[in-house]
Amino acid sequence: MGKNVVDRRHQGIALLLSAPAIILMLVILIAPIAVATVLSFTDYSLGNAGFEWVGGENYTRIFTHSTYEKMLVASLTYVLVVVPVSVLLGLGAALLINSLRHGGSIYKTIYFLPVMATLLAMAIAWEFALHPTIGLINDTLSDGCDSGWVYRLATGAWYGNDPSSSWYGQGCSQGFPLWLGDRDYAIRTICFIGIWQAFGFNMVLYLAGLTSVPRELHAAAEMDGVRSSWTRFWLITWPMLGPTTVFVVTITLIRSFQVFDTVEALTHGGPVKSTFVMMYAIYEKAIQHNLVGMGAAITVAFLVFVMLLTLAQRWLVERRVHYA
Amino acid sequence: MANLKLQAITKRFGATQALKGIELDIRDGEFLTLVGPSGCGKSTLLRIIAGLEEQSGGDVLIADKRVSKVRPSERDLAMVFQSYALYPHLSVFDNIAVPLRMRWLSTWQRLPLAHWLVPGTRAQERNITGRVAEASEILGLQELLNRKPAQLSGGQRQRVAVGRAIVRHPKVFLFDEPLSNLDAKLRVHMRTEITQLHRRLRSTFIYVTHDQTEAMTMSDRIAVMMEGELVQVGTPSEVYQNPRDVRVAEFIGSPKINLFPGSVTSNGNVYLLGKETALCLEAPLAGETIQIGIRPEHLCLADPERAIFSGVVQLIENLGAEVFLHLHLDGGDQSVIVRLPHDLAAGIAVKHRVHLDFPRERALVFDLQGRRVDTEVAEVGPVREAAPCG
Ligand SMILES: Nc1ncnc2c1ncn2[C@@H]1O[C@H](COP(=O)(O)OP(=O)(O)O)[C@@H](O)[C@H]1O
Ligand SMILES: [Mg+2]
Repeated sequence: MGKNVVDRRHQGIALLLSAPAIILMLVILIAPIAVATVLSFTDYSLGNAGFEWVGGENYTRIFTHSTYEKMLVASLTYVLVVVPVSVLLGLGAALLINSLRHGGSIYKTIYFLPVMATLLAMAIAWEFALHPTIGLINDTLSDGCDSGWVYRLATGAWYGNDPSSSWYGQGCSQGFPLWLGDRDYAIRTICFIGIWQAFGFNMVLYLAGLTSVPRELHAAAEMDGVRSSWTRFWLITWPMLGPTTVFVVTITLIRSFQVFDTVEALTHGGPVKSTFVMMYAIYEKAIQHNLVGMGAAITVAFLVFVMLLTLAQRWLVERRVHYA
Repeated sequence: MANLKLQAITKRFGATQALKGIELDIRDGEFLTLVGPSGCGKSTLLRIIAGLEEQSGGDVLIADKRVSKVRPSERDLAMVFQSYALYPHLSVFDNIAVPLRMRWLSTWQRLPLAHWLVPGTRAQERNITGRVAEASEILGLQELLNRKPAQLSGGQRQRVAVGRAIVRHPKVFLFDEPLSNLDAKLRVHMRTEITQLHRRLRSTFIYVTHDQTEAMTMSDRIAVMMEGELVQVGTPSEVYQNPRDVRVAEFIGSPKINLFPGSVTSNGNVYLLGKETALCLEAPLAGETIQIGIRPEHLCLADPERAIFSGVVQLIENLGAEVFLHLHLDGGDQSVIVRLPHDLAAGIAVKHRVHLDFPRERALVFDLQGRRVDTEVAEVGPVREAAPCG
């Protein structure tokens, strides 16, 4: 009996001691999510005295209304382009830099610069470069039209192609794309900037992963008769980078779902909602249009996406890529 | 199977000279152990033999052919690494099969589903399965073939690494401290397994270790390395009984040999701690200080009047069959270890004074540079044998 009393007192102390952490966690992490979930079933607007319950209407809209369909298309396009390209580029750059004897750190620094730079400032630089009439990119492209050999090379004329049917040839005669103002090009341009920014980060993660590949494993492969670097990559490097790859893919996925600053700075979701990504939709609905309920619903949908990804990662990590 | 010759091998890493002209002949089918303290260049030498590292100078000859321009995979050697270096994502079977798959199958045949598409793959895979089965039977791995390395104990991983080496029937096996990650009991067990494997395969084994017990128990010959040089090469008993260098005497043997300061008179008489010993140098070396080494088992209890030195027991290590006494000698700060059969040490306790003597022919005399100096026993008297001296 005496033991029970002591046990209960210990339990009390334990609760008391962990209370600050638990309360903080509830207030800072759980409560906002709970509030957002509750709001997502209402038509609440900031400043209104009350709100109506609307049930699942906000969610139904996400999956039926054409604006939100465009939102899902834009977000998925961005994610499906940026993730594989930036991961593969990051891996390729890491492998190349790792094989260098000298000068690796210069490349590392240069490729990592976009990661360190403020994206908003870089977005302004991109805006100038991509400007349809005075921008550096279209300027350079149209300069090439006047130089004979560049024109022949870029249009494929040297290969026997019809210059006017090629992309470059059409650009020369009808003007080059508006990049950020054209509904076909805007999302691609945003994707390009996303890749430009993400791949340096992935490269650094892969470089760290490569240092953890034991030197003796390469020696063993050499003794076992592995001759080509292609075979060595599939026998050692790729399997040993499994955990890194899962991490890199997950991080890039989440960051790609969260893309916001380039869209806000360069396109404001347009033209014709072609770059209306999820984060920007939340911002526009909840902050600009004061449709807090709708914004909350998108937020919850976003959370569910990220949660599913994280669960998939855990499942993969535990089953496949950690060998020890 | 092949003999192996090292000719004046040198290796520099920047400013450090890791190997300083190694000359060594390894006979066909021999079990040769490279032993020496950590950092003396054993792994570097082994990696040069394997071709994983390029020597700065000198030549490696395998079966009388110079191999400097031959890739590691074509030298027909197999190596077992200290960390085992197993492929963590492959099963035991696949790990053992890798050396064969890399050699017998083309890049196309190694692709998944190749045995449906590329003719001849199936027959090769059957051969490979047969060879893996043979290797796993030798090592008792049959039950483990489907496991991943992470699901194996240290000793089992060790065995898989050996399996991957023997599956190809190479000419020469290289082992780089293969037992150093195992616990003491398993190490003793694997020692006998590797020795038996050598007897069974009759290939040339080159075995690197910093553990002198492994070197003494397993090898046909031992090559003792110190600071990038081969100091002595010989059979285990030669190296133990007749070390040619004081560093060899200190390194081989446990507990460590006792070293005493001594001096030589002009007619070659050896004095130990200022006392006459009846030992004589065969060649004159007058006026120099020397070192005299006496192994712990060659010291014996003696009567006080006949003893050459006396000391107080500081510590007793009882190993059951035998006892190590750690003594502090009178008049100085010389410490000595004595190894006695258990019964002889029965009455001795810490703080007791004991008197010691040694059979003169057992003393090993080294000059100032640490080189061995040959001696003879001048005294014509009762020949003293191992403990007790009588
Ligand atoms: N890749 C390397 N670069 C520079 N120094 C090295 C390298 N490998 C070995 N060394 C040096 O060479 C010496 C011998 O090393 P090693 O052969 O590994 O010794 P052991 O295997 O006997 O412990 C050491 O002093 C070590 O620091
Ligand atoms: Mg070593």
